[in-house]
Amino acid sequence: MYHLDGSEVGAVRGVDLDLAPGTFTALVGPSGSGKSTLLRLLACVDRPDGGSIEINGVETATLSRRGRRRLRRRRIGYMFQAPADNLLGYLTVRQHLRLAAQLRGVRPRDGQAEALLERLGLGDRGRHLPKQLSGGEQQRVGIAFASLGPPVLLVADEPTGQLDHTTVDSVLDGFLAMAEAGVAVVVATHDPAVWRRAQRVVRMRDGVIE
Amino acid sequence: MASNRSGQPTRPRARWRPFGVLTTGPWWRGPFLLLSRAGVAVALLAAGAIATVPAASALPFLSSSRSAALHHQLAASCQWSVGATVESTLGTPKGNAEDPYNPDYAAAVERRTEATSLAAASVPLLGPAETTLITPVVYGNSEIPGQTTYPMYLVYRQDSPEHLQVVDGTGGAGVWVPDVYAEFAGITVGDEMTIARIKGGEPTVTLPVVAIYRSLRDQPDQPWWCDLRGVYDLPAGNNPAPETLFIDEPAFLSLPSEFLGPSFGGVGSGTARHRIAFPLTDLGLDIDQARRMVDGFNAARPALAEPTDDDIYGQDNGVFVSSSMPSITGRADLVRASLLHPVAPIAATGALVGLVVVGAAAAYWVRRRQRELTMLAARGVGAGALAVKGVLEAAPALLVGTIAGWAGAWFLVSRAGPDPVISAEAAPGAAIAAAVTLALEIAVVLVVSGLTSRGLADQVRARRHIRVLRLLPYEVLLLVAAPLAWGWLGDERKSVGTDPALGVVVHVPGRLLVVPILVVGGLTILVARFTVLVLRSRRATSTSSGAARFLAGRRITRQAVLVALLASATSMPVALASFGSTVTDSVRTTIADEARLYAGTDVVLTLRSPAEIPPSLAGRATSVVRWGSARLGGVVTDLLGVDPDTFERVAYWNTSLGGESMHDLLAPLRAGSQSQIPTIVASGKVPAGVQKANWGSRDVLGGTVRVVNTPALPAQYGGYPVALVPLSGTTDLASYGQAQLWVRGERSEVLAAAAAANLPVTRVLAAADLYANTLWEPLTYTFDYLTALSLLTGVVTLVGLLLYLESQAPQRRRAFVLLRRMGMSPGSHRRALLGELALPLLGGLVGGIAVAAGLTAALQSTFDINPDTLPDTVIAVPYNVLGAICTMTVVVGLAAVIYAQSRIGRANPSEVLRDTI
Repeated sequence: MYHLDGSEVGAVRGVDLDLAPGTFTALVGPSGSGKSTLLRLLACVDRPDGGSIEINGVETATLSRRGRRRLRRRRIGYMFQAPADNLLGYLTVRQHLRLAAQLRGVRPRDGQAEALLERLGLGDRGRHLPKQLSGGEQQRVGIAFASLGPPVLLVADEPTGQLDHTTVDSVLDGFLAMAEAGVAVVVATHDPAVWRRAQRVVRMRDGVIE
Repeated sequence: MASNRSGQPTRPRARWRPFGVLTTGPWWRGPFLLLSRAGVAVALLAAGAIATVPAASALPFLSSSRSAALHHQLAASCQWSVGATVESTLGTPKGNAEDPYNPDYAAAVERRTEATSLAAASVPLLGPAETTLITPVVYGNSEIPGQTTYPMYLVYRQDSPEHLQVVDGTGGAGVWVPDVYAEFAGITVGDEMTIARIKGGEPTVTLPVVAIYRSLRDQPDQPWWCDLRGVYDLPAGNNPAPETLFIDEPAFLSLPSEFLGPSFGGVGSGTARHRIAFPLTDLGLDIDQARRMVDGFNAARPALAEPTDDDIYGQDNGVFVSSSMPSITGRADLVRASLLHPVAPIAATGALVGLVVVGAAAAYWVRRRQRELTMLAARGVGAGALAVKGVLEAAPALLVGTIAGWAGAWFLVSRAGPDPVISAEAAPGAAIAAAVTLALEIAVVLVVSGLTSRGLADQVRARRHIRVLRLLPYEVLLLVAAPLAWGWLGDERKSVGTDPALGVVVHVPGRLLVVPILVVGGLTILVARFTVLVLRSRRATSTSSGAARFLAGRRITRQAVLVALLASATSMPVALASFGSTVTDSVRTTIADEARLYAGTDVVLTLRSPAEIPPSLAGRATSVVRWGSARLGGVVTDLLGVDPDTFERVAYWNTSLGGESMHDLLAPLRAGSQSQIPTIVASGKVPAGVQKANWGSRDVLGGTVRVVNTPALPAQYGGYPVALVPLSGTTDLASYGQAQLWVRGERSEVLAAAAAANLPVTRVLAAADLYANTLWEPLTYTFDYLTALSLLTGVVTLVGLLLYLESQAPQRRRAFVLLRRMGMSPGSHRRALLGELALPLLGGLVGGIAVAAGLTAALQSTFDINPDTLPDTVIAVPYNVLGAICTMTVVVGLAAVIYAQSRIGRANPSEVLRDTI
């Protein structure tokens, strides 16, 4: 429930959704249907006013602020829509992964980052800054940044919204790779190319799963 | 990748190092990241400087004030007196009656001088000794009718021929006679002058007159002779004041022993004196040098006071050692101590305002970094780490700002402060104050960026935000505190040192500074809160014709908080600056007018004899004759013979004193010649109506006058009332009165004109000098500091505006890209921007001036620091400061709009659409 200028807006109601590890789920629906709100709730970026959200056995709805922060840091990956929102312009790709490793508590030199880059097709881009990458590459770096660790849940809000068709596939390959690695991937999208390759499609309308 | 039994992926053991994140790019690069946000960097830098200037300037300002007090006292002091003076009484020398000159005397005087110089050598900043020998009062022959003898001093002073203005004669060995006395006594060069120790008695000496010099008494401002003022410029009482005649050293030491020794026969009193004076060589010294000089003097005092065994110094041989430097230094310290009361709240308030600006800058840093911070927060970075990032990014700008503020404080104080000399002891204190301010700035950035970052992730959107605490009008507490502070701080205006001899200094009562600050702060925030409510209520209804007006109106109503903030940021400094300037000018004007009323006008020249007004002073001078101790209706009154036409132009007057203009007040004096009973104007307790008027045994204006009474008149001295009488009707008394010339203008310029016109000036009374080096002195220093604060507050406005524009830049660029495609021209957008800024700026400007006017009206009675003296508070509107503030506001507003539009106009549509700005 949102409070906006004195009125209440029910963004998400009665949603019952189970996301299994190693699956790639597409969340689709018209604008204003509650997709982004649901993703923010899943990613512990927003807190629900009721109900229950359990991630990896942890009830997050009632978790303390500190606990939710710890969960975000260790177990959840979150990607914003715009590539610019996911990356820091002054860090190279490798430095992004080093930051992610630090946040996850992973040793930076254990090879996981290099393996992740290889898996996402970014093996030769480690020293490049975001502005030296294409939009698709930027989003894949965003995936790598959010996926190092790995998390148990990777949440992406319209990750292909600003990409052309030729680069969407490479991003989707990245998500699928992460799902194959055992991460539960959930993506909100309007893009048919995404839901066609998703293993599961969940439709939302007016805050309710159809 | 491995997975556990429930199918969830596993990973290497996590090891979170709380400080490890600080080694990653976003943190260790922090100090360099602000370079790409020039606007925020400038804002933080300026905010740091603003917070530092008042904190770091307080001690230098106090030091500068002390230096000013020191230098003003030194400038008004005699260089010999502030150095050191050793005066020995000369005893009866064992002379030979036939040949009184004994070469041993000269050797003894020389030995004494050398010994004293040797003892004084350890005292810093003392110049070479100047030796003076002075007899007690002796009597010379005179041609003055009824007065065959005339009192005088015989003086030998080393180097005196170089400093006397010879009117006649060639000088040399013999006696030098002042011209006034020579004229009265009929003495000319070449005469033999017989001088007796006692009136008409023996022994006598006869000396040749070798020079007539211009009397020192008739030459005001004779620095070299200042220590002898007590000899040559004694006021005349019932007996004539002794004249000063100079003789050479052998002649002095050849005087009969009775001329040097103590009284004998109960007639001749006093003894001769040997004065050794050491001038202070550097009148621009700082307080540390002054203290070293005082310490050296105190250490050398026993040696300086050591009596000598030489016979010429007599049996009791009293030695008097003096220097006014210890009391001057002590008083300078007292001035500094007295200024703590007003300076401390000003400095604290200034620093507090600066810290608020730093907090605003930190909030804007979060705003400009929102994208990055939100991303980091979404990945689990806590507010603490983000706050540390904020500090790391802001620290270089704050450090540079603090250094700039510290340097600016020194520059400001040394250039605009009371005195350019700031003692070294102020430096560590100022540096510590700057360092503490920097630490506070960092703490503010840490807290503000941390608190602001908390809302970037993990928001509870569903929860209704109870903002009751935010809605409470805390500012009312400031308004409530104002009257409490008024009562608590009291009206104490005087500081007394531990040594009563140092006197009293006056300071601005603390409540005159603290209460306006509280009122301005409380009122501004309250109005800002009300403004926000009004603007928000007009959100839905605001309609304007024209794209620019519509856009400006919509932005103003949509950004109600920012608009109110900008208006407050403008109105608060404007109110404080306007009020401070008004107090400054009003107190100065009131004190200056009180001095003018006391003196009569700007400069009063007392003349040896009446003189015509020279052409160079025509139009701003008037001739006045003053008679003391006349009687009007039985009341002792000072009479001023005036020319009504010129007097009304020159004399100081304020209609608040008597309710009438000077022209109307003097009208009866103009009509006096036609009236049967002359009318005069008198002040104080002189009874009105027809009264008897006489001066001694002589009638004034025929002996009967009609008195018109008024509460006060110019030039009232000693508590006696003053009466203005027409000069034309008192010509018979003119020769008995004191001729004066009252002139409007600066003292130095008037004296130069008087000297050029050869006016026989014997005394100068300048209104501007009356309160110099007095207990009123530190007031002006406080006002200087207030002026500096005004400058500072102007900078606050500028920084606030920059912050505002910087925070709005990205949205405006995006908006303008769309608006341009919709047909809006850059000029139209510039006008919209101008309207958007003009309303809060003008509102703040008008509101600030209105608050200052209200405060002035409420507190004006307290601006009269010397309420026992007329006139009461004279309000002086600081048009120059107000003009400067208005001009600055307009210029800054226009420049900001042009700058903002130039940035917005460069927006690249592709960047905006891809959101990569």
